[in-house]
Amino acid sequence: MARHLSEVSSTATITVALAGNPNSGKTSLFNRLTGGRQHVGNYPGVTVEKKWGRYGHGASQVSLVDLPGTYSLTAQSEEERVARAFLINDAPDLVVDVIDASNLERNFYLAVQLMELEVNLVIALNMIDAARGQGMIIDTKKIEVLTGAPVVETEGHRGGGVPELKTLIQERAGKKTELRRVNYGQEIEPEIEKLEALLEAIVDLPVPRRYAAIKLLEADPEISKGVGQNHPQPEQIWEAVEAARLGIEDRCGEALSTLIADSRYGFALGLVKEVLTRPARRDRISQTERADAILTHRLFGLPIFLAFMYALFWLTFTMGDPLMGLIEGMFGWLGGGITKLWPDGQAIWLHSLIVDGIIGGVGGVMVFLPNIVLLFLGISILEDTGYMSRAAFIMDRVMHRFGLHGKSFIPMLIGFGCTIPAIMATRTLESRRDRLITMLILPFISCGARLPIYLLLIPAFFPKAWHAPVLWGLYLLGIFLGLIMARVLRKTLLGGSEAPFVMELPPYRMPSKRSIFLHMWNRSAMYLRKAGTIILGISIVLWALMSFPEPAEYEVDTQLGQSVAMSEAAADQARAAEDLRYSLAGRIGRALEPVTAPMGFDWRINTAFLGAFAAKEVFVAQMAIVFAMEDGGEDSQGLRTVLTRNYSAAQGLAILIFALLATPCMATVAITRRESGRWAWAALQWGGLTAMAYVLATLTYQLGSRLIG
Amino acid sequence: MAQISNLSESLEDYLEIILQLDQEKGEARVKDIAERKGVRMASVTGAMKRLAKEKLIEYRRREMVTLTPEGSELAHRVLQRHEFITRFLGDILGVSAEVAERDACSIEHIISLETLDRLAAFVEFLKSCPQAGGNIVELFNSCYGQVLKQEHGEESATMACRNAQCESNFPDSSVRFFSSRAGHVALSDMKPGDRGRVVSVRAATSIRQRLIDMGLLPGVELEMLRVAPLGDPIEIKLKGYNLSLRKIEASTIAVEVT
Repeated sequence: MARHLSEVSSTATITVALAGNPNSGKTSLFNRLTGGRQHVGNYPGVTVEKKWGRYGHGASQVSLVDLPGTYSLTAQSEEERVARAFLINDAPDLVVDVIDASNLERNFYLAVQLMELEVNLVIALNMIDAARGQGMIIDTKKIEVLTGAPVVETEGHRGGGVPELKTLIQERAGKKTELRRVNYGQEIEPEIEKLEALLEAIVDLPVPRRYAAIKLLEADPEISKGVGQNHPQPEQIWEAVEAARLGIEDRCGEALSTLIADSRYGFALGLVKEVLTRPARRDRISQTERADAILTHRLFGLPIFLAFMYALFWLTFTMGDPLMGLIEGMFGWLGGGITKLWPDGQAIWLHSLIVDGIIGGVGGVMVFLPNIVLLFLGISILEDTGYMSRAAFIMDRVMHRFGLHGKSFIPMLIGFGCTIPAIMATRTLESRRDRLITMLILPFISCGARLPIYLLLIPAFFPKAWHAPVLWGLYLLGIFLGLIMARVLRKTLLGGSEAPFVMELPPYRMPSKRSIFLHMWNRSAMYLRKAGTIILGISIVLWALMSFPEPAEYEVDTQLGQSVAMSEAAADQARAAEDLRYSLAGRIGRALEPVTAPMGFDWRINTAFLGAFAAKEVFVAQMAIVFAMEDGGEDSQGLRTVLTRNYSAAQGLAILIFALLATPCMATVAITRRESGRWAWAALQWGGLTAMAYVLATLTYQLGSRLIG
Repeated sequence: MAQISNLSESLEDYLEIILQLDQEKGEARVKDIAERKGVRMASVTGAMKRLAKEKLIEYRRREMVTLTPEGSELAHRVLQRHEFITRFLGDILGVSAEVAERDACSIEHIISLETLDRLAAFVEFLKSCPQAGGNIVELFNSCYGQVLKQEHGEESATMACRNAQCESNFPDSSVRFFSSRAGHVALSDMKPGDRGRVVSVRAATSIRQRLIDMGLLPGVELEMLRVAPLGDPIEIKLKGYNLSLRKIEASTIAVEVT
């Protein structure tokens, strides 16, 4: 037992939190520190992403948590609340504040608040190379003197300074740093002292008393609530706070919270004046300004933005095509190889399970992996260069008009890849209302999983010249309906005030290959995990649904018995068709036929959409299985030929519309429920979309079959 | 300076909210009051105790708040005052609805009864003045609108508007008498390339904290960079970085152009 304990202490785990402003290079520093060993999850009960990882350094294990990027800790947004709650409740051994060296003043505003929380602080002066490139000279030692926290210079995207940071983390863990204190001036300081005295009545205050006193004066809702619950006589506190506020605001003629923020910025500005021995030359900043003069230009800004979006599509779809062919070929070869090696007539159901169920199902999904990888490559570049926030800047007017926030654009863009991460990306939105609306309309955005359906069906029913316009049209229709619904939701269920649009436009940066790769990898792995596990499982369940029960005898055989002339191959096909009709899936599909007939759907399409509820991309796998049984065609081209033979263009268009709108996949329903906190929202989303899909697909088919036949 | 009540700004607001809730829902609960005022329930409780001490409301721990006859009378007067000022700003002066509402919230607490009475009488006079007829307000608004349009066009020392009933000449300085005197403009009205210093931030509490956290404090120097291609939001530069915000929020920030 004793030995066990000593072992534990010799490999003690140090908990380190990484705090900092958005765009301070915090994430790339986190990537450098942890390497590939990182996890992405959720803070319990809230919708903010939690990233954590580990690394070993010498004898110690370091557990590193990447706090959400914030400008402040005033608990204005969920990110700020989460970051602060982590610092207070989890009490990490050390907090590394990542500071953008080229923007010291605003970054130190956060550092000041960390100092007030009296965390064990280390400052990482990040992107020091960029600051030097701008001609800045920063006196690091002086920062240490003025803050009391040790400072290390780092270059997060290149890895410079990372070993030094690791050493510093190990050295400083568990040691208490004596931090300097921000002076709030002769008006506010006495009031802080008075409140501190009153707060002595709370025995185990989780935050430093001085911090609590300042926060009370700032009317911080959470700290006030906590104090109110734990103080024996909270009225004393409220009276003192109110008296202080009235007195100070009377004498200074300014809101108390403004005065407090002013002192913090005053400290930051004073510090910058001391440590910055040579300020930035204007050239690099003006590079960003020169770029913005064009990229956000009144006339050219919008066309350039649309061009970028088009380029994103081009990259995803046109570039992905040859790679898709390669993967398609590979799965075809695999299925063919197994069929060739399979002993004749042995365990036919197992062969069918492997070739049709597993290889057919997973292959039908994997084939579109190049699209997803390339899409996220594009999105990563847009995010890392800083263009993404310009996109929000350009789009806010439109988004705002539909009751959304400019930031809603980013989840919507990600929604083109997959609705699941997009719903997770709504976390960038601060107000719950904005977030819910964005979340609910996201399924209108055609996700990457719907692309396989479009890519399969469009060439089957439209001449080549129409391929791009129809695809573009489907995407636009989804966006259009989504925006309309956002407005409807804003006017009905989710009325009320919106969060302010106050967003930094960071300087343009050259993105690092490493961070783009990691970003791309994380997103693609997410898609793959979904494809690999859920889709495989569902393919097998569906295969079972479609294979059982088996008919005891076939009509064909009866007919053959009555000496109807028929080739052996045709008889096999007829038997397979009967198998399907007889199976559970076929029965459900047929039972639904009266309902779906107005849309021009037959039982096969119904059956395929049954599968698509599990995950949109299953539709393609399902169609492949349905027709493989009838025809044996496995690659997309073969399937397309069969589809063209079986359905009219009007039916094809109705299927496309239905695929665009109907029944978000199970994973979407599940994540909407989790992120919104209520089944009701997920049910509303599912039901509303399906109803709308039914109406529009019916209209499409009825009009289409009259106009184009 | 005579006022409607000797209550603090905040307590007057509470009375107004209680009356509004009473009129809308037939009852006022602490929870709803807190929600409408945007404060914690605990602070409402404190305020309710104060109002109960002044015998303006009946308040027991059961969460329901009812106005006493005295309180009801006072609340009605407070509400009337608010509505009058909002109407005056909006309907007569043609100030936009949002600004009218926001200004009314500030003016109502500091305006003296004497000024208020005179203003009310003046409005009545305008409406009933036989010579100008009821449409003098309309005339004023169209006239002032014309002048403001001229202001954006060619420069001239005097600007005028003409119509059937009257001909007014506004000397340059009187078109925007106060705002040009003060040298302050709303951040949302700045032109790209303009520089200035923040004078005040008058946004609602939650938004103000956000703006403050981003460094938009009185005294801070900023530069207006550009308006987004679709006309909103705007982009400004302050403290060495670029920030975008909507015009609606920018309009709450007064800037002294330098």
